[in-house]
Amino acid sequence: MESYLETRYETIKSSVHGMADKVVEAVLAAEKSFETRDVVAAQGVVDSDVVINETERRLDKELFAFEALTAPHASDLRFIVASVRIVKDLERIGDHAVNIAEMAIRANEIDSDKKSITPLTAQIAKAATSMFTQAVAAFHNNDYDAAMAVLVLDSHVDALCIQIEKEIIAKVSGAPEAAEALLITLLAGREWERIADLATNIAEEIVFILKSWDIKHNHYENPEEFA
Amino acid sequence: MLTLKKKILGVAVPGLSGAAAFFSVASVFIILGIIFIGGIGNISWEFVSQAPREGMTEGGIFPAIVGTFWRVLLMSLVGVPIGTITAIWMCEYAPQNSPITRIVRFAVNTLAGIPAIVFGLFGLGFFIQFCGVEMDKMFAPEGVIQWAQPNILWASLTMSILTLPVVIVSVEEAIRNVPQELREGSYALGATRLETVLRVVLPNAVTGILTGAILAVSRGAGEVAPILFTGAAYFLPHLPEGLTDQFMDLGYHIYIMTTQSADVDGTKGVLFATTLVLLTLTFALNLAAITLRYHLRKRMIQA
Amino acid sequence: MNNESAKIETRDLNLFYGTTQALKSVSLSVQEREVTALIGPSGCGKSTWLRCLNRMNEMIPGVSINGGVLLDGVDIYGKSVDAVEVRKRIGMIFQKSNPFPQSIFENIAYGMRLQGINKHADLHVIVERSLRRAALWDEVKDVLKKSALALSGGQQQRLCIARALAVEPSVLLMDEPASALDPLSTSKIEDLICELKESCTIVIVTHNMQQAARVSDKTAFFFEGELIEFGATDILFTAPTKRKTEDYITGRFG
Repeated sequence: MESYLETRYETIKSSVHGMADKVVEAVLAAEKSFETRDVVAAQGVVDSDVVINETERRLDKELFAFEALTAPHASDLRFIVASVRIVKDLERIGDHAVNIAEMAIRANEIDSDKKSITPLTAQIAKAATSMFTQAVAAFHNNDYDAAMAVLVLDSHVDALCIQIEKEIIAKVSGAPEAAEALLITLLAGREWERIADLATNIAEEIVFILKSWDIKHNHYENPEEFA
Repeated sequence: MLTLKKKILGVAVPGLSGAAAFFSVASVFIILGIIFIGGIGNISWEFVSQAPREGMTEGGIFPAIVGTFWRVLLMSLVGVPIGTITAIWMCEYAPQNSPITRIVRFAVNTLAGIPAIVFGLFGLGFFIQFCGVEMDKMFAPEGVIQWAQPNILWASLTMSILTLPVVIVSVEEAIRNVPQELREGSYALGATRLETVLRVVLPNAVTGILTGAILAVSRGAGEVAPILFTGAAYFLPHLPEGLTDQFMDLGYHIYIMTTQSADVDGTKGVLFATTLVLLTLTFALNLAAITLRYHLRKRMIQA
Repeated sequence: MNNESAKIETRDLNLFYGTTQALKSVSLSVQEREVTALIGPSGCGKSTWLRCLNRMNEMIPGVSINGGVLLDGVDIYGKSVDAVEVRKRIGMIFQKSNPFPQSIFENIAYGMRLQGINKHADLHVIVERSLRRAALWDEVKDVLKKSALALSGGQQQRLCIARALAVEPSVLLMDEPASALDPLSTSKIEDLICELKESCTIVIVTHNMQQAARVSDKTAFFFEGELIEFGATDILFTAPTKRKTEDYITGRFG
């Protein structure tokens, strides 16, 4: 027989995981819409954000109440505290996905022949999306190794972002008339970089839940020391 | 379906048990009533303050009241401390359920079941013919019998043995009722076993000890058999003045007036009155025990 | 583990009730001026262990103990050590408050009278000081002659704390001291524990995990007579290392 507390805990746990899945959908749709200039998919991302925002509000309340009313300890406590932060990160990722989708719509208006797209944009989008989906998978599976694997990918995304900046700056001086579209590409790169950062945060929270280690801000070597 | 048997039992059981209860209550009232009606007419100041005259048909029962008083007092002075100390030992010192405690408990229970007349014979054999004789050898002048005869001391000692189980059992119960937490509280403050007994257990058991004492007194006051051979006198013109004196006793007085009197009709009124006095004393002692316990308990809670 | 500053510790302590083993080789050391909480399910041995520290178990028939219990480095079960002397140095508070059915004053004076202090003036100084330390003075200063039984449950428990403090123990053992009290009285007892920590080493058994978490510096988790885990309270309640501890404190037991 499961205790009522266990049931309550499982309910809130599945809500947090459910929110992560919803945000994964939004990010995947955003990636696709920017690459293909799929305006319909982009609009879907924008519309779905309302649901994500509402989920954040509801989970805030539920996590807060769970903490206050059941006074959890040990792994339960770590899950609740980390979830408060994960939910916030997920909501931010949802916002970035919306930004990317809106940029896709705007870019479609001013750059229908996709001149502003470079191979690097697809790369960074793919890399960031994969980091985030891996982080969510690690979250679902309580997989410490998978969470640690996400962390090392962040520097690759940062490097891509810098490369995009350099490339766009070079292009803008050659084609001032395409400046706005190129700027959108630059900004989209920035959005993907932020999503990768937030995916890193989530991976760090997973390590905290599983091991109680605080490895934030690049304390990835010998994580046991940060217990 | 409710069987006929069950129906009958449903009526018969409460009916019979009610009748039995009524029977015991009724006997108490009938006995008390007869004694009261027969005796009250003879009760007077003269009756309780004067010695008997004219072969017990005249005068009073004053020497018997005094004799009973001294006997009961002596008995309590010996029996209550011994009984209390035994109970303390049984509860606080002796290892629980060990052979030695079982032997003591068996002895106490057996003592409670021995017929009173056996105590009387024991008192005669042990106190008078053994202790008394030995004491005379040691203390009395050559040829003088001082201790080896019935007297108030031997009678009281015999009686205190008779009442010992009553004291032990009631004191034991009182001591066991002292909450274990209080003992632990005392030990935790660094008290020894003796300090705990003296400062916590006994003060908290004092109502029980007093109840035990009074119950013993009221039990002992009415007993006649143990003093038959050990000290009670048929008639004495003077009050007992020392431990070696014999004494008159209320219970014994009733006994001899019933069995030995030459003038049965003449002593009948006196007999009833003496019984009434004895019953009143016993009843008063019981009442005192109850009141005392009530007040001590109340004081302990309010203080 | 640094045993140099251990106030009281047990080494491989075993305790048997007849043939049943209630403590299995428990080694645990309590640091000076810290609050150490003992948690675990009923019958896990935490109270039994506590009662070994002031030799209260030996009053129970059929108990046998082996192993060491060291107070300031000295084995209190040693041949030359008197249990009565040990108990003067280690105070104890029980689950059920147990004031003697006497006046408030006499309750506090009890331990001092045992030590031969009988002068009223001397007693009064210590009674006042103890009641102040137990945060009860203001409530009872005008009714010292009244029966201790007239006090409320929470006041009675603080009276018992004052009574223990009067003999100046250096260690205070508390066996579920607030389990029968309302939340307000409980929080007063908890405040008191934090206050007394300045001058005493405190070991507290509690079934209330929030209470253990709130008041203690270190927590020990007992299970079936064994010490499963012992460590800083903030670690034990957020990141225990043993599976059994985790299961117990998250309520997933059995």
